[in-house]
Amino acid sequence: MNRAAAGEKVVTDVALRVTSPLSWLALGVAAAAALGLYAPVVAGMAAEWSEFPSLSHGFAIPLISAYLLWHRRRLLAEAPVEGSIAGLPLIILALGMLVIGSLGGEPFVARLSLPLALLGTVLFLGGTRVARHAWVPIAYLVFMIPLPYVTLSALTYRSQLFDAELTATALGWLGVPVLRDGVMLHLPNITLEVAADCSSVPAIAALLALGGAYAQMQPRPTWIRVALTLSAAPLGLLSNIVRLIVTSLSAYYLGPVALNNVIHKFNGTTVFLATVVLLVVLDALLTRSWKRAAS
Amino acid sequence: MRIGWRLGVTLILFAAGAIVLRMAPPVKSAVNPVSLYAVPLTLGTWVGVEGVPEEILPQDPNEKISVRRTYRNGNHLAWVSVALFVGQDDDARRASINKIYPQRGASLIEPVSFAVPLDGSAAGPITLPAVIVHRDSRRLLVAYWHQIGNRVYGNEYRFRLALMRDVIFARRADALLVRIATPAGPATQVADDLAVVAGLAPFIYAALGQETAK
Repeated sequence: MNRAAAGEKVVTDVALRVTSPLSWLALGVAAAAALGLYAPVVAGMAAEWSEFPSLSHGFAIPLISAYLLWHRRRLLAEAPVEGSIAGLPLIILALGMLVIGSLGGEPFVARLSLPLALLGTVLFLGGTRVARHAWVPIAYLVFMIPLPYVTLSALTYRSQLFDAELTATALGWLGVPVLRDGVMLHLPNITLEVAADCSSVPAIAALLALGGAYAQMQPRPTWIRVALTLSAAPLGLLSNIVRLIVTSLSAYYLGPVALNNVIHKFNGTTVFLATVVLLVVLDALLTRSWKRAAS
Repeated sequence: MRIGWRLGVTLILFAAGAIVLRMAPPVKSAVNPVSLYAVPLTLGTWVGVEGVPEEILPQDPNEKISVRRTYRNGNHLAWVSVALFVGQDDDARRASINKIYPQRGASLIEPVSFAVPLDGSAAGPITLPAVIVHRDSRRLLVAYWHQIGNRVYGNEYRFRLALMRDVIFARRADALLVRIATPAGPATQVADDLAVVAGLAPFIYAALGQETAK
């Protein structure tokens, strides 16, 4: 016990000897310069976050990223700042993407280069050990980047058809007579449209970000973290299908007045909360099976 | 000392990036809006009148100018819209060509594609995208393409890449969106409906090509 504590102290002392405050200052100056260079790009994203409700989670992503960085502050403080030349090509690649994306009017390319520029800077100035602890918070910033509209609209329409088909099938199982015509659900007393707003695709980035943040909050094995992050999107889709079924059932049994209910009107919030519940359940199941296997 | 050298390189690279972005010449318009009116009222055996119903081909609020006509050829009817979009280097503009076909009240939007020799088959047929919009019991076929100068793009991603290349190297950010709509029959008649569009498209391309190439 004492030997372990002594060993830990020696490692910490060595790290602190290697890492001078000047190195951290240099890293801070470079990161600030990068953010200054990217100020117009960030401003463009912020404008979209505030304009489109499905992108409003973008405001939270830098804060969560900063929290994840803060969460690793001890590991970062103990990592020796020794720079790696591998960061230089990343910085050059990121700057190339920034120039092409900005001058070419393709903001997605310019925006994607921001996390790359930060990672390259950390790697070039801080080195591999610092980058090893900082890459997750930096990569997390990808969730704040809105998907290109062309991709988003194509995915959204496919999702509408998929959601309508599953909802119609489920309603049939539940004894509700329904005729599906594309995204239209014809019930005996009302016709419902699975509109673009009803699709969960626009919220997928938010759900992935939610899964990613949730997975990073507690110490867990990597495979559970990956599973939780990746399962957020399908769980979100599942939550949305359940919401559509509940809305359709209410409309069938109660009439059009049911469309004014909370579940239908606050569809984003409903899906978000249901996804959180499903993530907690999945986490509990995975953790239990991991502990059982370990013991 | 070593960290100072690295910091210096990083700051120089960032400064170089900022200078390139700041020194870039402004994007200019290369297409004269008047050239859109080169699309004649008579296209072969098709005869047109001004105007297209909004519920057939919705107008995009971002188009600078558009020519919208209804053409008739015997029993066949077709609606044509040629719209000019400028300043597409603007971040906010990139997401705005979204009103290609009517979506409100549509139960199903069925993608189809077809090949048409727009330029008289000199360079082989070009595959163009089209959709069949199902609304109640009606069906509407809408075919469209993007055009930069004489170049035609049926694929949205290729169009975006070509536009990006044009904006970067030529500092031009103009593009045309050409749409042709016609009433569609049952599924068994799709080939006939596409043939109507394929018959009209080369006339429009030829009229636009002559003007935009000048």
